[in-house]
Amino acid sequence: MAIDRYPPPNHVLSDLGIEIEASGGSTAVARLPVTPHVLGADGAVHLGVIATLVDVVGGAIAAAVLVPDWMATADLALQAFDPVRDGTIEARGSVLRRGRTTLVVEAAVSARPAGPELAAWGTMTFAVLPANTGGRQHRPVGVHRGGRRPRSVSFGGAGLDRALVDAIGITAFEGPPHRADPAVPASSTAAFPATATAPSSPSPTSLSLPVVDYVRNSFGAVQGGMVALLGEVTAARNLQAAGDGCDVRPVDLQVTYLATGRVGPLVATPRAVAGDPAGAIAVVEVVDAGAGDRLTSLVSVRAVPV
Amino acid sequence: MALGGLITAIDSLGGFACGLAVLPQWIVTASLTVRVARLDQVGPLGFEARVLRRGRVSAVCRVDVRDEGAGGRAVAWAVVTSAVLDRDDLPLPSPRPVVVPMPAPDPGAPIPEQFFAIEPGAGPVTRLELVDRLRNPWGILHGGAIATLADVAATRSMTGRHDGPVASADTVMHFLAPVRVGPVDARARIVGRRTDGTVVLVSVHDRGVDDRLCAQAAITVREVGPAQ
Repeated sequence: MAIDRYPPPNHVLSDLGIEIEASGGSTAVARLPVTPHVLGADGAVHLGVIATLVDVVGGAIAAAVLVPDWMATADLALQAFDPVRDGTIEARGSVLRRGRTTLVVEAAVSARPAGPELAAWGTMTFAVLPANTGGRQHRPVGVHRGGRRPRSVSFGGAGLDRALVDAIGITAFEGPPHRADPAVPASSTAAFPATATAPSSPSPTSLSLPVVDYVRNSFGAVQGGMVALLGEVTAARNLQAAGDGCDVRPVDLQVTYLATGRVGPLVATPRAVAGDPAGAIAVVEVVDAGAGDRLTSLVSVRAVPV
Repeated sequence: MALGGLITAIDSLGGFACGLAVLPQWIVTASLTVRVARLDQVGPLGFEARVLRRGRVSAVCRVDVRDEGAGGRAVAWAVVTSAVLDRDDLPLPSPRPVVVPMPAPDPGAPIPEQFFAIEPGAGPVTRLELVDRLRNPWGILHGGAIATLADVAATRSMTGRHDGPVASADTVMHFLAPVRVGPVDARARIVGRRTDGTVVLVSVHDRGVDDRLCAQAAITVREVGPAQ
């Protein structure tokens, strides 16, 4: 994707309507309007959407703090509290630690208008890509070619005209079963044993995401928040099936980014499901089916019954 | 098993696996995520680590934890990320393959708070004295001690909010800087509540080094019994 500006107008981050206020220092604020298109089956904003906002605010901070170096998200964790159903989500990010090879950022997520309670808490680790190894190749989020970093940026696309999950093309994977992690024997990736509340599904459902410009980041790979969303939706669907159709709400999400997904489609498959009456967890492997089933990400999700 | 002990085992095995993957270089744990699926463990627990990625500056492994006393059912799952250290001048500590026999249970062993020199108390601040037995080969506070301190701090922060038994469960922990001097404070604050527990943010500070922030953990504390 030729980058004059990231994100371009016809991009999922633009259609989400994200705004950023970046001081150019170690803090930033990002906001996202809540529309029906970003809500999950339980009527709350997808964790993957909140993760996208957190990733964007973290990326803005990292780009400012690490200049002239660049960065890639290594992991992202999110704990959500009261579900957000309308209004605006706001993520306030700040640096926890700046190291030689990593940057750790935390983000407090609130619902506006709302009370003082947090809606979620997020942390991210960014791997530093030194400029002298070709790290910084693209402009930071929201910065146009040749321009300075604006203090406030609105991505401002046309907006979503349908559910986000449909807009980015997440569908059931119809291809042959794949072995997600070539390094792991198939027998060791079998689903967790049955439990009282979350028995293992006899046939886990894999979901896929096409790799198109609409969801690519400035490196040409799938944007990290979209990977989180794919993992969340896959986990929720399989936990619901494992719980005999009981509705679930994802409340925790953690993504470990291992490699970029560039070819596609990305295919997400639950490799472990377990739980007790308080909730259940699913561990989802995301592979790039077009790149020899290369393992790109590991997503763990905790969900509670609703 | 208390979360601190669980993380200690995960950190040890995960660090070991990552360390083998980067030989002859060395590693230090940078972060870990633990998902606890079941708290009703029988034991003994079996831990299996697999390296997922070995990069230039980091290595990542996953650790599956199964309850061998309960038919091998899954009880926890973790991801450990280690940073690669630029040192290749240290001798390998053990010949390979490495086999460390499991010691027999010691009924006289001290409880974790005593072993890790954690001061008795309650409330939002929990303190650990940095005694030499808690230092790792690098001379800094062992990650397991930090995890246990964070675990204790998280559960103590529930004092007055739920007077029944509580247990720490899911954890996201970042090791930000080494703890070298002490004493060590773990400061806990509740950041959110939901049906499956209370999320407590614990920051760990080395008071002997300008109160430096050395670790941060987001821990879900679950109520495992009725209030008394």
